[in-house]
Amino acid sequence: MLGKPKFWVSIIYTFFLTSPAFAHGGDGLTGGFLSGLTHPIFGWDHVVAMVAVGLWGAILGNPAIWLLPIVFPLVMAIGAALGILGIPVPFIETGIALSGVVLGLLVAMFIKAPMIVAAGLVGLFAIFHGYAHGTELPEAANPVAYGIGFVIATGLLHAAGILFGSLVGSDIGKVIVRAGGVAIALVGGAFLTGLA
Amino acid sequence: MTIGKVFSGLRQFNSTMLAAGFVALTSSKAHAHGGNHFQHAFDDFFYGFEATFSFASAILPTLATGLFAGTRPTFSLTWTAGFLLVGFLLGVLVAPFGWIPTDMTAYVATILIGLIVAASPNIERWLSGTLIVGTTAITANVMFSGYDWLVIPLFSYLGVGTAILLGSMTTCLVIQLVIASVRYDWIVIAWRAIASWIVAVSILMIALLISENM
Repeated sequence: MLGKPKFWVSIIYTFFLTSPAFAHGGDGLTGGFLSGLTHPIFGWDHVVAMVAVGLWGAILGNPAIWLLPIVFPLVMAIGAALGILGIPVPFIETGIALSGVVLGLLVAMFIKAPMIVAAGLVGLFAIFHGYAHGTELPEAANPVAYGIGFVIATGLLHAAGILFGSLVGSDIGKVIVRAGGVAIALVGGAFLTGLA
Repeated sequence: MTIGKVFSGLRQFNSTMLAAGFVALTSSKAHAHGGNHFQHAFDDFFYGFEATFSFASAILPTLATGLFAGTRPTFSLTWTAGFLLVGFLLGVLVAPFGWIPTDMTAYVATILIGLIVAASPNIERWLSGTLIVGTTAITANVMFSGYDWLVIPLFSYLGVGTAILLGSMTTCLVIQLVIASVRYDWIVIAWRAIASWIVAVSILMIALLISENM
């Protein structure tokens, strides 16, 4: 039963159909979790970089396709820890914007870097993204739930990037992925120059 | 592991575990009977069960242990449950002494076991068993540290034990079932990614713990 597409479609359909449990006010855990979950998704500077990580992983292939989305949240958590502890890290906003530009260009140009370089670069940018979240975390209504929410959102954005990146198998797909890379670099550039 | 083997294991475990979980989660107080012994026992049991799922330092290692056991089916489900039980009893025995720091140790253990799942190295069977026992003992220590033996009602011990075992075993069963039934490479990658999320959350918890004490 579990192997049948109908089963999985019905499960996914159920998730989309469910409505909030109105009996519960949404304070405490729910508020913190949703804030954490939506923060990276509604921040375009975060969205483009995290999707780009998944895209680049898909272009680089195995093992980058699974290693980069593992490296990013782990190092991001270390960056968040620095933010929580108030340890100063310079050029946070610049680093976040630059991550969009650099990762977008890497995707657009189909650059195949060695695994160690790719992991190092993604890890470096993850520090900036994590730090930005970490400074906000202690102020959250429920820091635990907020933290869980933003880690899950990050992972889901990577998954979206990998899914999008799976188009590279076809010629037209490569063009679409390259265009996606250009769009990501442009969004990053807009943040870098202060236009966004 | 084939789906047949998983289902064979499920036949031994699934009915009992799921029934126990369902009853624990859905049952309500028997209002027709006021304050009898059974009522108190159930309240104590449910208090322990609920309390376990109220602490991130208990939930994270419980999930990580289930993830570890599920993605690396070194042992049968019976053996896994046995290791969890031994770990729980060990934690109950050690906790009153207060030797092991609670939250910090739990998060460090979660990070260790989560990284093992994410990196998926080859490790010996005895080490796998020790990790399951050790992490479960640390989880039980989180719940009982500082309390003398049996200061807490006996049924609360049972409630905590059921929550820890059920949490880890359910995670383990779900993972084994999905791995056996969905034959795509990405499903194994997905569990690795989820392990990295659990590690990431544990790192955040440690940072919050340190910042609260600063």
